[in-house]
Amino acid sequence: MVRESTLMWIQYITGLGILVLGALHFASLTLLAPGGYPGALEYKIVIFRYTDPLWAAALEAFLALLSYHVFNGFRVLLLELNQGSGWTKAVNVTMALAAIAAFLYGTRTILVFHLGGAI
Amino acid sequence: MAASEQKQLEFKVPNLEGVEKPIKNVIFRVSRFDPDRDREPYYRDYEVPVYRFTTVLDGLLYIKYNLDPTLAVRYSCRMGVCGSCAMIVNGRERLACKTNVLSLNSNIVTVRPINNLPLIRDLVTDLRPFFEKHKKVMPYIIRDDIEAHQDREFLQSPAELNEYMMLTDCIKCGLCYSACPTTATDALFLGPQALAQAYRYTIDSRDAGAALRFDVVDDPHGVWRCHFAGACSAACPKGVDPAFAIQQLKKLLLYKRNAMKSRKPAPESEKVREGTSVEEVLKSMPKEWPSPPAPK
Amino acid sequence: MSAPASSGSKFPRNMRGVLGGWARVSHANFERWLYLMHRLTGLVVGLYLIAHLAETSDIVPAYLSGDENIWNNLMQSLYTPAAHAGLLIIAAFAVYHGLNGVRLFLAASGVGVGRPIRPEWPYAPVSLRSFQRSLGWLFIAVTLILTAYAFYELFVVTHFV
Repeated sequence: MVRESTLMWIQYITGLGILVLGALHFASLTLLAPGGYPGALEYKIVIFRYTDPLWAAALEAFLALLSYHVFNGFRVLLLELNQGSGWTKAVNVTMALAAIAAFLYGTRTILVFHLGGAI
Repeated sequence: MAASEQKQLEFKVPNLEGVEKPIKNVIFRVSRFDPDRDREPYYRDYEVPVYRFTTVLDGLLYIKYNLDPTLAVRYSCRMGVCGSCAMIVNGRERLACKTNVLSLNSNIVTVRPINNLPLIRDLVTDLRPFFEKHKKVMPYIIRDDIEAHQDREFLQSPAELNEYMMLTDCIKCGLCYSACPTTATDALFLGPQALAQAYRYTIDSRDAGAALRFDVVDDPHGVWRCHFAGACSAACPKGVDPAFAIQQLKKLLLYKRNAMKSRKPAPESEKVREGTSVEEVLKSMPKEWPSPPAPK
Repeated sequence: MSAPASSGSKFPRNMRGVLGGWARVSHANFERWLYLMHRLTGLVVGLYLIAHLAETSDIVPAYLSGDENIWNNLMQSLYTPAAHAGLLIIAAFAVYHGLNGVRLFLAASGVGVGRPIRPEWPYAPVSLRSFQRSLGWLFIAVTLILTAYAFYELFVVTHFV
């Protein structure tokens, strides 16, 4: 299967990426938003950030990195709490599925505007 | 270098306070557990007279000799080199023989067995899981020609020795294993001692077993379940610093995997060790060792 | 007590568990505190991500029906000091987790944990007095500064304070 060191290497790299994209995400709501923080949550401005290709790509990348990092993190936590082949298998499968589910669900929110409301 | 006049040797009367007579009585709150009678451990108080240099081990043996002979406690060298007397004293992982009771600054000394290992009785834990994990990382030099020439040394520079010398001080006491937060819930985690020894042998320039050990430690319950809490290094009574070794092991796995696998181990010396060969030594070994001379 | 059935059951496993193990704060060294905070912040922010994905997906029904107010009303209802306090905690936790993660990544790359020494009594382990410790303090300071900035954005700019 996949080596644990590979999984952890990706955990570290996604962590670094999340730091950068997270700062960007926070900045997009405060510094870079026209009108500052409370205005950045206005419907029109939110739609702009989902439809503009650069912002949408950044959000999508952020979501991808987070999906991996968060659910691998949960997996590590859960594997440490209990051992045994049944539990280990259940945790691995559930966290992988949850990561994919979170990614797809968030992607749907981002893509809805690009597909004209098809999904 | 005999001088004409020798400096008068001054004999200072040593400070005997607390050496000849006990300074005070201290309560030893000792965890007791009889597997045939008790469901879980409980604390029992004993009053112990304490001198200036009384250690926790001395106190426990006083209890055993004078107050309660049923107390089970492991000890051997009583000087901090065997690692038998590892226990938790006032909440901290300590060697009982190296813990001066007065230095604890407390009238109650709570003594508990170390964590995360099955409790057999009183202060004695089952160290077998700890030793099994140590054996799993193959804590010995692995190379193809280890049997070839036993009469010459492997060439290792002082710099190469320094890389792992610190880690050879490990006395396998189990205090790091007890302190580690991961071992508290993860029964399959190798533990700081085994992982530090894995690094000690992998980085040893005489060793060629990196590939084998990497397979053992690069595991969901191996090196990667260490999160650098540093409790192991803080608890180690010999200054081995297993946390350092484990981070270096992670570095090898992330960046130097192939380099370590293809590394050529230290070469043999050209010089044969002077003196007799191994075969001759074995032949000339006496069947019976001579007994010491009879006392006069 | 009657005789136990098997020898395995009468010897307690003696594992400390979560409260006495992970979360043990008595006689905890600096790095152990940082580890505990890393676990806590990671767990909380990770759970927040799931809630956040659910919350932000509420813009979809607003878009599909063409009614902006579904979204704007939701934002208004969350424009409270309590909700912003929650966001402040999430922001602080996320910043701490990220920065400490950088420190852990550096340590796992062998940076900041020192070089091997010959231990002399009183044994002070080199990894616990190397650069990674200063980095830990520095990152705590940066976390506090950025939390103060987040407080400014969430409470001062919005006139809650």
